[in-house]
Amino acid sequence: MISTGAFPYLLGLSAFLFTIGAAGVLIRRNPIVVLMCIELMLNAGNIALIAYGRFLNSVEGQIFAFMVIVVAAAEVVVGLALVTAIFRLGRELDVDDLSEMSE
Amino acid sequence: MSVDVASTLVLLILLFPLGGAALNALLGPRLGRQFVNVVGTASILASFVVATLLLANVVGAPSGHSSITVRLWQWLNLGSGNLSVGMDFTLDPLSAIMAMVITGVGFLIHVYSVGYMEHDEGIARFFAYMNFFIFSMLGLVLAGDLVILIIGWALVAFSSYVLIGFWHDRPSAVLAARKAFITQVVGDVAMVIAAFLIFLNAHTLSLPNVFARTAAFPSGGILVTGICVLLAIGAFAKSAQFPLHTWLPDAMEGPTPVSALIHAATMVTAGVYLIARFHPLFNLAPVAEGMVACVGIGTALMAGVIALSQIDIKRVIAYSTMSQIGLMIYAVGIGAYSAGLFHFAMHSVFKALLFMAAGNVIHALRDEQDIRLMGGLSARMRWTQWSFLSGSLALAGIPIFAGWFSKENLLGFGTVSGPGAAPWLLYVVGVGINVLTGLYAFRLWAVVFQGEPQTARVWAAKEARRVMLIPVVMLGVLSLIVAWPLQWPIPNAVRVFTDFLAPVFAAGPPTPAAEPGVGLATVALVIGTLASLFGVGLAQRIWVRGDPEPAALLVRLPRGLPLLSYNKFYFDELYDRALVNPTRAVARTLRRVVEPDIMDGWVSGVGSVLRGLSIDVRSVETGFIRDYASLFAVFAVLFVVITVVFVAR
Repeated sequence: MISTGAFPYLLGLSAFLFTIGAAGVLIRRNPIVVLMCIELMLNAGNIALIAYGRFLNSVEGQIFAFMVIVVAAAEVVVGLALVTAIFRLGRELDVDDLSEMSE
Repeated sequence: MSVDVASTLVLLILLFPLGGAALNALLGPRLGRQFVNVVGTASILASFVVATLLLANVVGAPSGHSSITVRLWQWLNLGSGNLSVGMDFTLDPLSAIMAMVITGVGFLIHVYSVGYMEHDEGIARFFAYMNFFIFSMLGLVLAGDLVILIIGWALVAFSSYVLIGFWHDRPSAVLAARKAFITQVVGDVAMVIAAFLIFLNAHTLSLPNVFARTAAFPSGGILVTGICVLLAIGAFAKSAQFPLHTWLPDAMEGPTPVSALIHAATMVTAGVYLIARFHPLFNLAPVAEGMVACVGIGTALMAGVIALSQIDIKRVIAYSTMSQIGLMIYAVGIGAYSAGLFHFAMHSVFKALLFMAAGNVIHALRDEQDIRLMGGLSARMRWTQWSFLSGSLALAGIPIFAGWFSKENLLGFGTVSGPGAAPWLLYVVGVGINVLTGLYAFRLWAVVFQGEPQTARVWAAKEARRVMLIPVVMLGVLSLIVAWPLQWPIPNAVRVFTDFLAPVFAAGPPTPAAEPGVGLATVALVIGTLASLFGVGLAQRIWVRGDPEPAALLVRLPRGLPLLSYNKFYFDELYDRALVNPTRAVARTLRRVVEPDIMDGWVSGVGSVLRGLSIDVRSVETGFIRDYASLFAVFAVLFVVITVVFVAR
């Protein structure tokens, strides 16, 4: 059983993971790694949700975490499908090369 | 057995293979082959030692205390204690036997893999997957909570998926992996629905509590029948039973040690375990039990017929596996749980042996799997040949080999399985399957090892290396002797196995199957043995001596029958027509009509309107996602800071 004293550490872990994920999204150029980093950020959010839910004695945190997991799964499906489609086009997998938003 | 001892054993038995998988995955590629081989096999050996301790503890427990459920930690607690899921693990004779077989046979297969995968680049990946499979399978059989069981159930499907598709540059392997996974997910869905129904009525998912509250399930009612049918669908998908059986032969695309471990010895028998574990519910649902027995015997018959005409060495063994598991499913369906589990234990020994010996042959012939191009290997691969023969004798159920003890024991129960003519009909089919088993087992042995070499490769074939031979020979010896001290098909003779499992099946509602009396069991034993011998003898006449008479008999069969057998009763084609092609057609229509005309229309419309509106401000933008993301992050932080500093005050 996790004691109440673990609460700040759980939030710290969540913040730490979120920072790694955010840094990855900003720095890395490979779309697959970027997707993984987004997953990391989502899961950091999950940890925070569950920690709060646990220590505020409410189930909403856990239930919301399930929602996040479902959304994350859907996001990965779309993301990986895009990556595969780009790969089939023979283009380099690089988020900067793939940028078409300013044109 | 105290709670402390039990939880330590559970943790150790699970952590060794999991740790092995982690080490191999993270450090294996860097530290090289030697490291991977040692970690991969030693972790399973350690797990086997713990399993032996576990078995000793269960055997040594005072009577009436052989089952214990430990909670390692509380995992989920939802809705103020309504749904509480713990990391629960049950140690009892049933899980102890399963753990022994999984780690014992698993260890020998891991040793064998060291030789078989010697030249493969991805050895670290391979052993990581294999160790992970052992971990998942142990989690499945030790689970004391339905949620944990389903997690293990899904993890073995995942391990099987990655191992079938291990050679991921072969399109056929990738397709086979996908097929296996998707088919098994059908069963997973059924299991999850069953879990919902169980929770709605028993208000718990912890297995001991569910089985203690069988009063919540009216005997023979629609509810318990539905739950059992759903659980049985899960079992059929995992154990490759009709109508979810088509994935197993394709799964032979994986490396041979994978076929031996997952698709013969352990994972595919999980369905038998599931039904045996849920016997308190199945005992309340005679309709579901009858369905299970019929599906089991039907699959056994069908797979036996198909095995007669296949030409790929591994597929013949795969269909024979399907057939033998059909017999086990039949046994648990008629309530002969310990007989089914005994056949599972014996089968995993001799079937793992057959696969590994076939692997030796495939290796010696440089990846040749077509049995028509083999022949005459007995002189060149003597040890493999003798071991294969021992495995075939056990499979065919020839007296004093392991399969004889388990299969005749199992069929003996068929004689007393229930009132009316239907159970007897199933028993007669079971005897017919004995004939079929002898036929296909010795057709394979004769075509591969006897006769004249068919190609130059056979002339050049050499016996396998020692690391691949020793596990095979060990299992070959075990196929002969392992059943002797455990269980005899003669009533009131040796019955260690049944007595050991008895406390498990004595709990809960009474099991419908009675044990056959001495007279009936002896008659059944004689009939079954004669049927097996007849099958083997017929195979000898047709394929070894080439007697024209039985061969002529074969030719005189209706033309459709051999075709049906060779084409596997056209199930793949049927599923393609009925399921795959319509799905594809729908997808294609969506792609051609809905996607470009309807979806793309408004999405592109919105886009081009905005594009037109933004023509002047666009030059401010860089177009790099990371710039937007950084701005987003900066403003998110600013927002939080402002909220905390100014608003929260």
